[in-house]
Order: sequence, then structure tokens, then C-alpha cells
Amino acid sequence: MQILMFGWEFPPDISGGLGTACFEITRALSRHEHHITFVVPRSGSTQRQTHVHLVDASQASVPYPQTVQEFFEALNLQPVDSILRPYLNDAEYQTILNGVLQTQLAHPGTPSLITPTGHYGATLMAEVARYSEIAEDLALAQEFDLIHAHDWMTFLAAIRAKRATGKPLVVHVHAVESDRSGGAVNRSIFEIEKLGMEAADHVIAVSHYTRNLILEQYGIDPGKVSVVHNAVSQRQVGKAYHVPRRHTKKTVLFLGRITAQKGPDYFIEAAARVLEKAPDVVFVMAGSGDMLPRMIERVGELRLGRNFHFTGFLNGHDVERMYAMSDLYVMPSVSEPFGLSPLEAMVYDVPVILSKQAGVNEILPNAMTVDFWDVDDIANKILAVLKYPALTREMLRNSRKALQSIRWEVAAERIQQIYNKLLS
Amino acid sequence: MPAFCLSFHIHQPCCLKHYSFFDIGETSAYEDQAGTEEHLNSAIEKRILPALQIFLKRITHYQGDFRIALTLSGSFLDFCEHPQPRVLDLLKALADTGCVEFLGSPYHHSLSSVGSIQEFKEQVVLQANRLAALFGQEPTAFANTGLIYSDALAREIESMGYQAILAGNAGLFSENLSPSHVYRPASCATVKLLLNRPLDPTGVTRVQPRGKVIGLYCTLDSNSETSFDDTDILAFLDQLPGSILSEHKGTFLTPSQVAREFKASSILSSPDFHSLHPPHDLSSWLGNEMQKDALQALYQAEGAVKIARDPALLRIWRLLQDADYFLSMNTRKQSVAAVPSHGSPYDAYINFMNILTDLTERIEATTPTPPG
Repeated sequence: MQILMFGWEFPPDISGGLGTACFEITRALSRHEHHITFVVPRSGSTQRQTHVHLVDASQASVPYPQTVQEFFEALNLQPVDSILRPYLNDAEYQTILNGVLQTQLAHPGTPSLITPTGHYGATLMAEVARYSEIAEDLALAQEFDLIHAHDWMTFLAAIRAKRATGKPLVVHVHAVESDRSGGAVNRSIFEIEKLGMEAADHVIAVSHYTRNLILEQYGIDPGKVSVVHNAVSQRQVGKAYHVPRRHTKKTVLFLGRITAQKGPDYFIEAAARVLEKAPDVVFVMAGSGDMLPRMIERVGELRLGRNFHFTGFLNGHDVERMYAMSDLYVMPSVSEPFGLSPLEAMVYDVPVILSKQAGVNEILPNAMTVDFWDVDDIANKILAVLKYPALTREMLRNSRKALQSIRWEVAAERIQQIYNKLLS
Repeated sequence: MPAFCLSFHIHQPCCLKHYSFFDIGETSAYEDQAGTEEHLNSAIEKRILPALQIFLKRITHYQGDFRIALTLSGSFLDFCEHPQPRVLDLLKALADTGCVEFLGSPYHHSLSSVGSIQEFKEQVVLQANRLAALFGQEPTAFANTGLIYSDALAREIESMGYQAILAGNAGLFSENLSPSHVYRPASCATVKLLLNRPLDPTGVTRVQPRGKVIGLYCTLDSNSETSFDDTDILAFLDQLPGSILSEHKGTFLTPSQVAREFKASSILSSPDFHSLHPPHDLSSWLGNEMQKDALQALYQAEGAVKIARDPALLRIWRLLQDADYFLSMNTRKQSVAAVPSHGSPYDAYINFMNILTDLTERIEATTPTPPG
């Protein structure tokens, strides 16, 4: 079957779980003889993947690709020049836009991988609308049986593709606006999400947690909303076990976007409590986001600087190293539709403490969970994991067992069933 | 016409307070007395008291033809003494009928038989003394926590003068041995082994009244996994004596009576620990790393707590031996524990270890540092 997929960034340019999920789902689907045309926003300035070739759809039929490169070669990748990227809000969009403009002012003669100035939308919404127009043109030039779109920024494009071709539409919801905004819901984004889900013939939610939000907040017909949990790559599982820890001091990790949704502030308050009892523990906050400056200030106020490190944004190899160096991973998310990174931490044999508000708990029956706001309990559990080694042993035993059945192939299988139902 | 041997187990664990890492060294209030009383009172009203009343009624009605055995934890008796004297009065009335046998057990419903034989023996003596003082009976039959059993334990129990030991029938004994006979534990001279199946209201009609003696074991705890809806089990207990006496033409014997009346049909060997709880080993209590670690840490404190000679510390240390705390750390199956837990098995373990850490520090603080 031929699928037109509106997706997001591919490795190594991964800013969060959305890109990983798109990549892994596409990879696992391509095993089932699906021809995927993958439409992805990519601005000239971020175009670094020289090994990616645009190939004709007719050449895309190859056996299940083993390497990333083979995978890319099997894929009909259709980059659309756009500075959209996952998790954007309007303020961040403006920052990026200004950056692009300034680069071009500074290097007026730069030969153009970098696109001509000025044509990106003036606001995030304008850019989303512009993207959807280009994506529609692109879609009309392709052959496909079904449209699959990931998260709200692609929904307008997908709706236009559906209107133009009459093909069935699957929208894949990795997060909804209330997850990201923590209450201050942007109505325009909400409306686009609602539009997309209403127009869709089927909606895929990454967890029951997200499915409930979709039913409650958007009033979508429950009959067309299915849950397909994310997974973690088994290649990593095999490779990553027993990475030796080089640190003598115990290291506790926060890794994710430093935004209100992820609860970095609770992590810092818990760290302060832990350090009262265990002054040798090291805390690491990896990632970037709009709350980063405030978090750095807070660590200063609390005089935790000696034990608290900010790494900034990490990708690929550095993420792996960071996991390998950690003794405990904490995810105190205020709202977490799924939460891929704890699964990755588990792959690296790092025990994880998870917010109760995380969809990933649905597939981890023996997860250690906390209320994100209960800083004392988070600190209590961090101390317990560091102080009672049997706890780490038990948590790792349980996570290894759970990981055995958490596979992208299973997710792809479920998605394929949904495709088949829509096309039958 | 087989003999039926019915044993009922009653225990209520002490509820522990939420005890954080930050409480260590700050407060030593571990017991949630209000919570304990609430659960205890609820269990007593809904199940324990009505069941005991039914026993008394049926024993009186059948004039000695209906007999039962009771295994009561010392902790339960302690709790009853103060808030619920009605229960003690009823137990004494049952003792006075001469148709109720009180079984020996470790005082604190503990896993001491696995953790420390020395402590196990002390608790068994404590329990025997308590039963003698309350009911005028020295126990001669023994029912360990969860009917935990092994050859080595059988020898210890025999050496303490017991004539009968209760064990579970499932999982351990090979198929060519009938569960309805009396056995001799390997390398024991006198003590006899009585095999029990869980008493199941829905399955009692399927019990084939064959063989010599049919052992049935039932826990009357509030939330235990072998228990059933309160009204169902009470109705069932009410009808059981009549049904067995008239329909099955059976008789009732207590464990010590069985041991006296029946010869051991053959020798049974169980080198490994066996228990009533599926999968009939120790894994319900000691199946994962947390449970094993907690048990080890607990019994490592034994020497110091006994040297300290502080009755309050010893009491808490013994309280913490309650097998139900270990059940609440079970990750295989949630909510089997009779003790209201603080959330997940991890929470249960963390709470337990925080308390134990504080207790251990207090014990160490009482030990004078050697001079020099």
C-alpha cells in the first residue's frame, strides 16, 4: 500500500520523542511492503543529511532496511522548505525566523542550500498555513492510498490532501495542546487539532491517557480513536546493556525539553531536598527550552550549583552517553502523553522514576511513579534508589522484562490493522 | 467416612505510617494506630466476630461433633486485648467448649522460620505461653506462617515438642501420594504431617470424601487472597458442619486428634521450603530483590536488638517481621497483601527500609561503643 505521511525530523536531528516515533514507525511499516512518501518540513539551514537521497517512488521497493541509510534510501522523502519543527510555540517560532533572517543578512552571497529570505510565514500560524499549501501541491503529484499525519502542525496539510484526493486520513496524536501549554491553551492550535481529528477517518492516540483527553476535550467519536503505544528500538536494547559507569558519584538525570510540561522545576526542588541528606549526589538537567534560564537562576538561588549541571541540548551520541553515565532517570512531567525517553533510559539499564501523568505507565506495570507536584516524595524515592541497591536491581529486573514486549513492530502491526480497516 | 480437619487462621497486621527518608533520625513513630484499629475493627465486625459466633453456635448445636482449630497471631491477640475484648471473650468461650484446638505459630506472623531459627523458636515459645495463659491450652499442633514448611523446619518443630504440623497439599507432594493421609516428615521420629487444601466455598462440593482425613485451611483475614465475600463465607461456614456430618457422613477432628488417631502412612520429604501460597514456595514473600533485601536487613539487626535489651526496640523489630509487609512488596501480583500498603511494591519496600534504617540507627545508638 502507498502511504502519504506528514511527519517530522529524522535522526540525527531529533529534538524529542515525536521525531523518534515518526522514524521508528516509518521504519517498521516499511517492512510490510508499504511505500511511504514522507513529507517533512526542513529549512535550508538545518539540511545536514547528505546521505539522504530523494528517490523515485517506483524505486522504493527494497527488503526491510537494516541500516538507517538503507531505510532512507527506501523512503520517498519529500522535504518541504519550512522552518517548522516539533514543539514550536509562537515565541520560539519568532526566534527561529529572526535567526534565519539574520544569517542571510550577514551572508548575503551565501550560495543557496539556504533558501531565499522572506518567504517564511510571519507567524507560526502563517507558516503552518503556508506549509499546508505547499504540502498539498506536493501531495497531488504523488500516488498514494492513504494519508497519515503526525501532530497538529501537519493537520492542515493532511486535510487539504484528503480534500484534494478523497483518500482516507489517519491523524496520529502524540500530544494535545493542553499537554504542551499546561493550561494556557492556544485556541488556534486547539481548533486545528479538533479540525484534524474531526476530518480524520481514524485517530491514533499514543496512550489511553491521550485518548481520554481527545474524547473529553475534543469530543471526538470514541469509535474512531485507537491507542497505539510507542515503543523502543530493540537494536538499542542489544547494544546498550551494561554500559560501564565511570562516575563514582551518583548521578540523577532529567532529560527532556525544559518546558513547563516536563516539570523541570519539580526536579530542581527535589534535588535540593535530596542534597540535604546526600550532599555528594550529582544532578544533571539535559535539554533546552523556554524555562532553561529560569531553571539556571533557581539552581543558583538554592546554591546547588556545585552539584547541579546543565548540558544544554544533546543529540544522538551524547544522549546515549548521558544515559550511560546516570544512576537514575527522573521524569516529573506535569502532562506526558507518552514519554519515550524513560524507555530509552531503561534500555541503558538506568532505573526510572515516572510521573503518574505519563502514558508510558500504561505499558510499564511495575513502574515507580510519583505525583509530579510531590517534591518530598520524589526526593524520598531518589534517596531510596541511591541508598538501597536492591531497589535498583529490582527496577532493572522489571524494566528488562517489560522491554521484551515493547517493540515498534507491534506498534506498526496495530497501525497496519487500522490502515487495512480503512481501505477494506 | 473420612475425618475433616478444619483450621482457621486469623491475623491482622499493624499498619505502618508513611515514613519518608527525611523522617529517618527525626521521628520514631512508625505505627499507624488509627489505621490499624480501623482495619481491625472492620475485619472483626464484618467477618471475624460473626465467624466465631457461628463456630460457637454450631459447636453447641452439634454437642461435640463439630470441632475446629484456630491459629491466631500474637499480634492479633495483642490488638484484641485493648479495643476488642469481645473477641477475646468469645475465643475463651470457644476454648471452654473443649472442641477448639489452638495451634502453635510464630507470635508475630513472621517469616522468622526463614530468617532466623533462633528468633523463630523464641516467637513460637512466646505464642505457646500466650495461648496457655489465655485459653489454658499448651499447643501441640503447629501451623507456621503461610504454612511454610521444610524437612529442617519439621525437625525444629518436633524438637519443641509438637506432635503435628500443618502444611499445604498442593505443589509439593507427588501424585501417587494421597493428600488425605497422614505422613511422617523425613528424619522426624514422632511428629506427623497433616496436609491441607485451602477451604473454598465454591469448591467444597468437589472435595471427594475419600481417604482418611481431609485437611481444610482457611484464613479469615480481611483482604487476603484466599478469602471471599463476607456474607458468602459466613453462610458457607454456617452450613458446613451440617453438610459434612449428615451428607458426607463425616466426622470432625482437630489436628492433634488426627495425629493421635492415625498412623503415618509413609514418609514425606521436602528439602526445600514449601507453602500454601501459589506457586507453593517462598516467592510470594521472597520472590524479588526488594523482598530478599528487606528480609536480610531485618534479620541482620537481630544480634544488636537482642543485645540492646530495650523492650520497645525489640517489640518494633518483631512487629516488622510480619509476613504481610513482604507480601506488599510483591511485584508479581498486586493487592494480595492484607496490610494496607502505601501504593506500589516499591513504596512498600521504601517505607519499610526507611523505618528499618531508623530502627537500626536507634538500636546502634543504645549499644555502648567499646572503649579504646
